[in-house]
Amino acid sequence: MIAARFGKKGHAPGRARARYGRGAAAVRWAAAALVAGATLPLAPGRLAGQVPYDRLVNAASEPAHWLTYSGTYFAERFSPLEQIDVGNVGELRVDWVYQTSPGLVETTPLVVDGVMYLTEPPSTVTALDPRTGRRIWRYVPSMPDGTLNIGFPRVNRGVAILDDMVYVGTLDARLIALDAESGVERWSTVVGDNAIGFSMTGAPLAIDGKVIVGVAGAEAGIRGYLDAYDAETGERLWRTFTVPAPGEPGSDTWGGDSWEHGGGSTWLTGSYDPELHLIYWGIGNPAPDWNGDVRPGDNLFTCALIAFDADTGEMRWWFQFTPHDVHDWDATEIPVLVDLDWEGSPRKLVVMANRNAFYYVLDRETGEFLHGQEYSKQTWAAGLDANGRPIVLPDTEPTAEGNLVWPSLQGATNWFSPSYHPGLETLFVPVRHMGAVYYKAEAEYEPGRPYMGGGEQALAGDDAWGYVKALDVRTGDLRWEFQLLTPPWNGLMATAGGLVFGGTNEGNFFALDAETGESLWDFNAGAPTRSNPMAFELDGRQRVVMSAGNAVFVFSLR
Amino acid sequence: MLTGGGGPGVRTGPVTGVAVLAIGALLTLPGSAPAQAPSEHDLTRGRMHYIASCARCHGVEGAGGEGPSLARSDLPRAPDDESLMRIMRGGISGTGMSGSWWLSPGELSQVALYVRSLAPSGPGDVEMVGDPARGLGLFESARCSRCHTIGGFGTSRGPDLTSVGLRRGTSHLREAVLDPAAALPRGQTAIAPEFSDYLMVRVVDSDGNEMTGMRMNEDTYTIQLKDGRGRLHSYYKPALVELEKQFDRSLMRSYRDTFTDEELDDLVAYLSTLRGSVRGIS
Ligand code: HEC
Ligand code: HEC
Repeated sequence: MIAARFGKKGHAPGRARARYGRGAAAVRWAAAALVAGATLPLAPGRLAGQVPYDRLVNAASEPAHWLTYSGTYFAERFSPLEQIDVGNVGELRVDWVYQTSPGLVETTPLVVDGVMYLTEPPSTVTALDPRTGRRIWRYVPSMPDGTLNIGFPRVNRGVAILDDMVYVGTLDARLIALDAESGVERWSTVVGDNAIGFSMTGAPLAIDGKVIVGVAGAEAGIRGYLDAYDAETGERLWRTFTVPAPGEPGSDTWGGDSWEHGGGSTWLTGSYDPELHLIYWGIGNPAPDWNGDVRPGDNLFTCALIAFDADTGEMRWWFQFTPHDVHDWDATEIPVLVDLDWEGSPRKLVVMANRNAFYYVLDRETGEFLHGQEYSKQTWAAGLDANGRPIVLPDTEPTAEGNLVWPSLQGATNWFSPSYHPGLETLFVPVRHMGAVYYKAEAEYEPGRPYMGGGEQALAGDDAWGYVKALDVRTGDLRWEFQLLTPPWNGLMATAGGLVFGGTNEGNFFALDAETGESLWDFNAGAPTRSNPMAFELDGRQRVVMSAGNAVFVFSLR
Repeated sequence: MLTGGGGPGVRTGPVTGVAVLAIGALLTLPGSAPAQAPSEHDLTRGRMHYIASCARCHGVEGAGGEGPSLARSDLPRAPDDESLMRIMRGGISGTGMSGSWWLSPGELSQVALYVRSLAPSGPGDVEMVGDPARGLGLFESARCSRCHTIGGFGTSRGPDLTSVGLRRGTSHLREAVLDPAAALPRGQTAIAPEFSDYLMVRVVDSDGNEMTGMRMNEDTYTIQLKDGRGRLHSYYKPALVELEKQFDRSLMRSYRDTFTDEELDDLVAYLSTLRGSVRGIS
């Protein structure tokens, strides 16, 4: 089953594309759709989209392209391309470099039918010629000077594409649809009120006729939700709050009216199972972050993974990793969907290396906890009980004087992506080995102001470091680890060439042997790396894309 | 909550030029004595807002984290209060330093007071006991300038001491001379804030050659060491056979048995007078 998904098939679209001339749009769409084995979902009176839903569902079968934030709906961030492999990776050369606008670059570019789409700080969308890095168009949303970003930098992680539109969430919490060919704005809709801290930094998730987006802002005391919008019109289809109002299920896990500003943001892109028609989305921390006194209880559904019905937004199931979190350990990390034999029979799973330093395996149809264990140093729990609930150790809460706990508030991992190699059944996780002294302070809610109730002083410098860890996807057992000088901010991508690509804060791009962890290639890019690698193929050459500082680098063998 | 259509309400920055001037008057102006001692109330409020807006990156006591240490008297990006206010409000573009423009002018000035209070207290906090002139004599006879520069003169194997009297209190200076290995300074290496400076590192390459030098920079793959003659050596770490970081060692020996207590007072008094120009960005 796995072999079929990642076999050497699916190169046909690449060949067909080579013949595309200018203006042959209709032929092009038809060819692409035929190869993908899809029917053409023609909207009335419109040309069929460039990237119909079926192509997204089958993204793994066109490895020349990178169609969604995490590569596929299953969020493996795995490239089936194998031209660059353990034998020749040392020969990688830079094809071109694109310099972005100033700010932190956390984008994952998409590459579709000869165009690269990426975002630049703070919420700019750019289309590039992937052969040269020359710009085709750029869309800069106009935003008020005082746009709030409380609790995170002014970043954007990428776009989604569906049919002939490109979607971006903006720092001032709007969802904007652009014409993929020209960058012209088709519609713009307000997702949240930035004046009270709502913001958007994650790439949207585009599925069948819908665009799913989450919001950031727990550090400003928002009440989080996940939204679905009609991809054509921008009309809101559903909204599901992640913090229940009185009377709703889970509301008894919030004391008083703390739910009103309970946090539970949804700031990173989830994954999606087209067959089950379920969206898997990680939920952020409760607010205020480090002072839990005002919100006694488990604080559902913060720090949980929720399976949402894609049509209605209804919660099918939820699993809370960190009840009553007081360390800012959002559970927004990428949920990776894997199909495996589990104790003798095939099972649909979702796995997550959580910010709280534990690794989890859940049944993605039911949410049942199947397995969990620590994958990085932690000092707050004695372990997990039979239901996966942490056995919290006493005296691990933040205090006025400070309390040293592992991991730090940035967690054992964070928004940067893990990568799953299906052939090796290994999950590669960028790990932050760092403790912090946590402080608790008063927190008073005021609209549009930080609502955090404390802070941390992280152990830094020579007292903290990082790893790339290769985990057995079934157990979370360590297969190998590769140490990094400092706790990383860059994601990973495994490839069928047997490699794991990543980067360091000191500006090293690297490629490790996926089976042994041995470093086979490194390159000093000269500035911190803070995004996720991706890959595509053009002119018969596999390209690997990574960012450092304000530069997007494209590498290939030539 | 959703306003639909027109986008979220426009918020203008809270600080006007006039307000900045007014705040400046509350604060210590560069080069001048404090206009008035900060009130306990302002400091407490400043700490509260600092914890909410800055501690996440800079640490509650300013020791640093995602952002650099602020517990220093020389902040290269914020040498005076005006630049400190500007940085706090607008951030530093192109870096992880994001502006906290939601703080009101009054709150910003309170935070600024708290930030300045984090700096290690200068020599003024302890009554000067020694004789700086005699201290200068000791500095010369002990040939401290073999490793230290002052005002551009000397050899730069150890930290530049041109403004050490601004950056450090007397107790720190005394400790630095008595027990240099106890705590290596942090925050000036080319690696990142919070890394130990002047760390001695011993390496053995694949040919068996051994070398001990001072760490100048390091990343996951390489390390740069300076040898006793000031020459730079660069190593590819995966190719090394041994790499030992000697955290409990300093290039500077202890002068505990060299100086009498009185001489030590003189030396520290001299070091405290070193209040030369603020170091630029390294
Ligand atoms: C999101 C993390 C973050 C927050 C929040 C933050 N800072 Fe920073 N800050 C940084 C980083 C990173 C730098 C270093 C920027 C650079 O590369 O020069 C910095 C630099 C500074 C500097 C310059 C230091 C120097 O060496 O001159 C000052 C002063 C400063 N911050 C004060 C503050 C204050 C006061 C607050 C709260 C009002 C604050 N910061 C909030 C991350 C942060
Ligand atoms: C062999 C080289 C060497 C000599 C000689 C030397 N030092 Fe140092 N010194 C260093 C190094 C290296 C450091 C930084 C590492 C440490 O603090 O241990 C340092 C640190 C210091 C510091 C701390 C500076 C700071 O910012 O914290 C002071 C003060 C100092 N030395 C004073 C002196 C004095 C006074 C003498 C002469 C009596 C002297 N040193 C002789 C190498 C030297």
